Amino acid sequence: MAKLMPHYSLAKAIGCFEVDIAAKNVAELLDEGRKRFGEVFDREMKLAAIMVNGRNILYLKGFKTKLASDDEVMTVIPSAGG
Amino acid sequence: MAYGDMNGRLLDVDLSTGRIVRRQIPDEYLEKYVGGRGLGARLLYDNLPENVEPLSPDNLLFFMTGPLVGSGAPLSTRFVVVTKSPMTGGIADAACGGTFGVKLKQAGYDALLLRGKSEKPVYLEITDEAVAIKDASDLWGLGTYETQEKLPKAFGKAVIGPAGENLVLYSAILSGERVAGRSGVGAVMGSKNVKAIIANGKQKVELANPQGFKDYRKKYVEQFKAHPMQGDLMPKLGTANIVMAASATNILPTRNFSKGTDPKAYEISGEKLAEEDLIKNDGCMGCIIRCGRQVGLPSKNGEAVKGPEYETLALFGSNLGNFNLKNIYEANYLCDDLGLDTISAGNTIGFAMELTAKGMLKSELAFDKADNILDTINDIAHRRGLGDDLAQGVKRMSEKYGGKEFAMHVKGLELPGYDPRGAWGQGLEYAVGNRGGDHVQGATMFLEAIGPLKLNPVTAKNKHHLVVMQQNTAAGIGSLVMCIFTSYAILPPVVYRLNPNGFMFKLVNFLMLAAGPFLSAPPPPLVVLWYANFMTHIKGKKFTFKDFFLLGDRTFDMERLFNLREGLTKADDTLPERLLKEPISKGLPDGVPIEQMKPPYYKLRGWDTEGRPTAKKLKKLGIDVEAHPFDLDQGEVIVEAG
Repeated sequence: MAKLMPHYSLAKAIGCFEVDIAAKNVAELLDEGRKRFGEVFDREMKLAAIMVNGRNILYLKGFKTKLASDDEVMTVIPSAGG
Repeated sequence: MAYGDMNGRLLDVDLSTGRIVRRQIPDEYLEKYVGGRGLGARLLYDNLPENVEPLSPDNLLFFMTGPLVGSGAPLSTRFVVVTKSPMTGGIADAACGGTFGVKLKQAGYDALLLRGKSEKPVYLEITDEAVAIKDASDLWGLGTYETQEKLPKAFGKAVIGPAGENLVLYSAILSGERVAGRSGVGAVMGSKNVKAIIANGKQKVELANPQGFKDYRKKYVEQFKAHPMQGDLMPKLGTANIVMAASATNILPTRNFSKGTDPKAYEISGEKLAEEDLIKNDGCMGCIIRCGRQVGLPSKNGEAVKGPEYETLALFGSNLGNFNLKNIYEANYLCDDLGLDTISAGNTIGFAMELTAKGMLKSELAFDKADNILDTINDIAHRRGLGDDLAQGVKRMSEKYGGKEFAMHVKGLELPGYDPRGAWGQGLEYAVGNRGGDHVQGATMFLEAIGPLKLNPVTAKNKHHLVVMQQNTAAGIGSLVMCIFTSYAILPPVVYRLNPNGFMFKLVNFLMLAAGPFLSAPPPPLVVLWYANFMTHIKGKKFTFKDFFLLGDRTFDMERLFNLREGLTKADDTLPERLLKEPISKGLPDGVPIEQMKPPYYKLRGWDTEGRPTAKKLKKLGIDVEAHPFDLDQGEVIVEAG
């Protein structure tokens, strides 16, 4: 099972900072997220980029990026400062 | 005069003799180098003899303002400290908010130079009527906050704490709660026995086009307040907003940069800080962003104090395996009060933790153990026990104890809160940085990882263009003396509304990286014209973006020339071995291919293969290092020696 680690506001909305999800790829993981958490999941994911083990799926295979059992999927919204 | 507002006065204080002279900076310098970083670098190059020991009386310590300081331009109530760094042996520059910059300007000075060394602790009082060196025996040994409380309220202040007095290499200078933290500027001030500088006056900055300036200011403030980053996220969460994004993108330093992410990152996030502990926002004088945090300090019965910035959360948090937010508040407050740079301090403690874990150092320090961090900070500032070694920073620690491959510094300056294995452009920026391991002289990771765009972070392709664009922009801002956070508004709000997994987003990212050659040669398509427009209204003649970008380029190369003269070479343009050879995550390459990235960067900069600016490049920039138009023999003596 891949581990989904959502950004803060999504985590607060769904009540956890880590959740294990059985999914073969990112698309399946998102589908499962929608099923489990409903509309709030979709709303929070609108502006969130998706990282698999710290790599943006944009530079992998997009939603078709395969997931292994120990993969970490994190979502991220823009930030700045420092 | 080169500028309507800038009188070009430099106050030259010889602490060894007590002689104080008011000098006039030539118009040629004000035109070319403007102020802040650029002018400071040129003045240092001209007037500091080669190979001076940074903590000797011979070193020069400049406090620079700029043409926007005191003008009413938003986000410009700042000053920049420039000197030779005791950490790197190269250029040191550290910018700071607070009130000192504006007050120095109101006292009638654009720059202050401290030279020599006082026999006993002193502070310097500067007004538009007089300048005096005063006894500071009763301030010596005090923390920065108590020191400032004991000095006259109406004055702007720049002070050091016990760390600076004790020559801890990474000591800071504070003005109010804001910090000129990096490069060891506080140690240089301490080496001169100067505890504080205070300034006040009634001089006003004159604008060439006051109405145009006022109208433009209004437009600028409106744009900022409507921006999703500066108008919303930064005020809501402060710089701490980065923690979660850094962890997700694999750039959050974790346990001495052994990883770039941690599942407990949310425990030290800006969101959690805002939810549980934020008392109110804070900001520099007249700031329209107000990204500063005020939190309750447990050890002071919940009294409101400055909260930690992202860098402190990263270096004293995840980098030590410390996810106790309140402990980080205490560490942050303590470092500020003692006058320590939190980045170097946290990084150095993390290095000592790894040395200890590997059996190379005997100490009680350990990752995931926060209970002795505060004592360690005190030991560093007072140079007690192991603290005496830690006070030297990781480069010197690694020379004594070993572990150079995981000593996380560049050129002797500890790395800040971004692991470049998750953002290769940031790695190049660190490696070639003039002040060493630094993030505010470019912040390329904003475009690669944490910002609204995600320009393929693990490719070397065209990253040199991004880095040059970012460095020149930051150097231009540093020479006008404006807040670097203005640059985070460079990407327009529409970018923030793109679906980050959609086709349009992918296209924008692809095009921007592919457009590299256009980004690093003005006029770049995406950069707004704020800086140039403010300058135009101040000067009364057109200051274009090309002028701004050239100023940044000139500033950067002037600093580089100083470093080369002081013995730094292209071999110093590198990263710690860990970042070159160890993969940070499954599926990622081993490390940052820095040797592959350097040659195109040097070429783009107009440097030769050894990393030296060519004669052609210097001609383009109008830099003639043989010319010395600033004659330090000229000036009006205010106080005679003795």
